[in-house]
Amino acid sequence: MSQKMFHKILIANRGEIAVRVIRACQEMGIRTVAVFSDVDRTALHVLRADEAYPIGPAPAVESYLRVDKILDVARRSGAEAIHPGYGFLAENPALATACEQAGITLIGPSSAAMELMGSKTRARQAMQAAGVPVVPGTDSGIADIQEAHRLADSIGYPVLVKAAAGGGGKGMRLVASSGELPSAYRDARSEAENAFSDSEVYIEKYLETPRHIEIQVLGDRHGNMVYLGERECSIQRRYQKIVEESPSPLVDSAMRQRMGETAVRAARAAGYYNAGTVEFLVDASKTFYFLEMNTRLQVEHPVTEMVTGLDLVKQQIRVAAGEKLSFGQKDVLLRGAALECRIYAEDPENSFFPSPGLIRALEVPAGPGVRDDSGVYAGWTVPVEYDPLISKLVTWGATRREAIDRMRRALGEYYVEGIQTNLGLFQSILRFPDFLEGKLDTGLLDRLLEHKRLEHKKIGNDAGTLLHESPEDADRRRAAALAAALYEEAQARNAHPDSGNSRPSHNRWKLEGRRSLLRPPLPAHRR
Amino acid sequence: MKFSITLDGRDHTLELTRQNGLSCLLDGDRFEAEAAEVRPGVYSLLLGGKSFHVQVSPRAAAWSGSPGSGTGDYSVQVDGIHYAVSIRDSRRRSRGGPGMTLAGKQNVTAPMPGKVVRILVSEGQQVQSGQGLIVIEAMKMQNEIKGSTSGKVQKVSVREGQAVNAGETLLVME
Repeated sequence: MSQKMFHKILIANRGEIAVRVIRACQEMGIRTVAVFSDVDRTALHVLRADEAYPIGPAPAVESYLRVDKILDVARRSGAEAIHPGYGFLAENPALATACEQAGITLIGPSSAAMELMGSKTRARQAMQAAGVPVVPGTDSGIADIQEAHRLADSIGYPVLVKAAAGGGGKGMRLVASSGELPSAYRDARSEAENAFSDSEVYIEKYLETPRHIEIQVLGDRHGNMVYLGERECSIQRRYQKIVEESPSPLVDSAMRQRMGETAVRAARAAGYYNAGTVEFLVDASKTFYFLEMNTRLQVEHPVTEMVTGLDLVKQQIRVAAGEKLSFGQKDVLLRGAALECRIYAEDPENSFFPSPGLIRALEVPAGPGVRDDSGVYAGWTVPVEYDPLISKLVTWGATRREAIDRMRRALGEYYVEGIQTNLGLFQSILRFPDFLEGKLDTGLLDRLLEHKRLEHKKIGNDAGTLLHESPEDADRRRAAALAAALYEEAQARNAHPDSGNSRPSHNRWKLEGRRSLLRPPLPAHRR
Repeated sequence: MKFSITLDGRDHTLELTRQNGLSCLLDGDRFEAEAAEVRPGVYSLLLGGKSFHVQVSPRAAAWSGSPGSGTGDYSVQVDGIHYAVSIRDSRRRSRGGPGMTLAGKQNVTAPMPGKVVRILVSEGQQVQSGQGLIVIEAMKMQNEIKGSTSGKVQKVSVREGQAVNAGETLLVME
């Protein structure tokens, strides 16, 4: 460790990513400072950090998005650097600028690079100047709905209306025809205003079922920069990634080198250092277009860590402390395959609506090749105010097939009680033929959900025979039906104590039943 | 005891008889089972030597269940595979969902706590099944609540900007 290495780092975030950064710091012998909002007093990152300070009420605009409060905690606690994680202030040049002025190191790129890439429209202009191919579309914000109509007509439908400050699918709408444009324009602007305090939107050609592949880059402040392979992020719902993997089944070593070198050129054009991600859309003919650059650590960074053997958070910290990269491009070797499933507090059985609330029980998988980056624990109430991501389950295997088999095994061990999650959805994705064959595109999940919906409809009217049901499926269904009946029977016995024989063990049922059924709804906003 | 069970959209009948273990009749197909309760809601089931780890949790009851009775809707996880299960035993009265009221009116309720950001319909308006009614923001996403049936909006019970609890009535349809 160099003499300039930080002694104390503040993590300006919450949830799993704050825990992830704390873990890296602990391994490096660096003290950690957590910040928390009123609803996060007992959040996992607070429990894990060496120091913790309140920064205000639950709404992020009054706490995690307050640059002044975070800088104040950094000064008071004596933190020499701030790690912003992802989301919140991670790509906000205001934090970078405030850090530069306060003499505190931001673990990330310069405010200038952040500002350039943060504006999707300015980034497109810079990339075109650097000879990096971009998706056809507008290079500046749209003034009004008339201009939107004119531009969409000239680009040709379908188009995407996208927030210039956007990311993570927020402030983005797909428009199939001009009739849908006014409401999409309105919704995208309002969502962008809410999410980013910036309602500027632009229009981009919508590529039909493209693949979404991104390149991880890492650079120091001495002009060295490497690419660390790609991540395949095509499995998305509402433009939100849910399964990521590295390497991509589509990318061979020649294509990896072309994309990697293009990504490094893009990053250099922005004067970039620290960890960053260059996102590309890839069409059916394997032509790739620059989509955007994320000037932060990505949610899905663990899959890159698994195949490169590097700890990206530690690399970020070392680069921020002024160290040179200790390896070059030729030293970067990819080994095996890694897969990540994003576990969200949402309900696949009910339009994927968010499902915040108390986690009553939690069982987390373990065993060979399994990593769970979680931000929750049993007894924790997932608040309604923040992102629904509760954990990232990552598996590694010598081959893609082994990583998938391990993921299926690990998902089987995962159990979350009290809130709904999308865990069950992954089992469907990981059995879907297109996924197994590596035929990935951003339309895959919609196809799968439609397939499931039709199957439900078909079998709903035709009880008794299922077309392709294996003996294992049949046994599991029997077990599911029997267990539900046993549970229901116990409930019924509680409701009618005179019927049935009541044994002492039923008291536990009664207590549990009452506990789970009579619990009053949580207040919507615990301010 | 006899149950009507809907399992991932498929209807079944299950009859349980207790005699030296469990004798089960599922859609006329008989099988023997042995059940051990690991803890409330969690079972170890042995079906002819095959071992299953089954976890049963009530769906949405914590948010909107009417006190004293379950909704009969469960999330059931069998060795990691998830099933949506609705169950009715023949002796219990059929339960109307929390969204149902008398006289053909239907309450559209909030599926989760959040903030009303936009009301897309007005009182007296005729709406189609699947039409967006209200947008609620929760967990940083705007979620459009759609109507499950066609009908007329009788009453809008919330206003834009208002915080709502799960299960709270947003509007009344007729």
